[in-house]
Amino acid sequence: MEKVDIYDVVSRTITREKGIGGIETKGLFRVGLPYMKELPITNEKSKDE
Amino acid sequence: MKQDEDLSYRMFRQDYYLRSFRDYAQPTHEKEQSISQFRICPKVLHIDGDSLFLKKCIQLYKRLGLQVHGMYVEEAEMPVKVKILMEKVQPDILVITGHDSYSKQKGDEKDIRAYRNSKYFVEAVREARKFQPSLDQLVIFAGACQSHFESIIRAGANFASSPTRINIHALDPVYVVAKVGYTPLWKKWIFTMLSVAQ
Repeated sequence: MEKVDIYDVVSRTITREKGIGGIETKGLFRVGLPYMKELPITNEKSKDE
Repeated sequence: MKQDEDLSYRMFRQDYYLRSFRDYAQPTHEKEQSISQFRICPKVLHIDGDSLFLKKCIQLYKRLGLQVHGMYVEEAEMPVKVKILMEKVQPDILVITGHDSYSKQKGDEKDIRAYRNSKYFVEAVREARKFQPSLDQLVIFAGACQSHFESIIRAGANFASSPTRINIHALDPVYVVAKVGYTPLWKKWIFTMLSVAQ
């Protein structure tokens, strides 16, 4: 299981560790097979585009 | 401020793209190469006490490609409404934010009554946790500018603001949520090891 790197999260916000804090959390992004047009799209392009 | 926003956005894109290239660079199985994948990212429920900031946040969610349901709810009504909204939307990530402030006249920094809206955020997080107690099944971000960090975390939020009681940026919750939403559930190397073992 991949945890969300808290240091990474905090350093990517604008107010940093002074403004945001948190606990270890599990990632929620899932990959599925096969790709079809009506499936939920994220902003990422599919592999063959 | 505009520059900061752009910087944060760019850093996020960079991170996400690097990750996706890294994943593509290592096909886990020969057969897998010929099938293209689809990716599903979690559903976000964003409850905000300010309709203008809500609008701005939703724009950014869309820019980052996240599925979002935004709702304007007054801070004081949040504890009551959070359950109904959660039943309706069934989110994977819940964001509770709005306006908050600490006033020295009302009391000590440790006293939650000295904060304008922190008590409602805490109560809303507790209500949400009653509905879904697992920290992994539902990720909660709660808090706003100068919110009481300690009690929000203790109530069961995964992320909260603000440890040093500063004003946070309105878009910070969105970046945190996006980071959680785009972190894969499983590490790729586990699959690689499994296919090698076979």
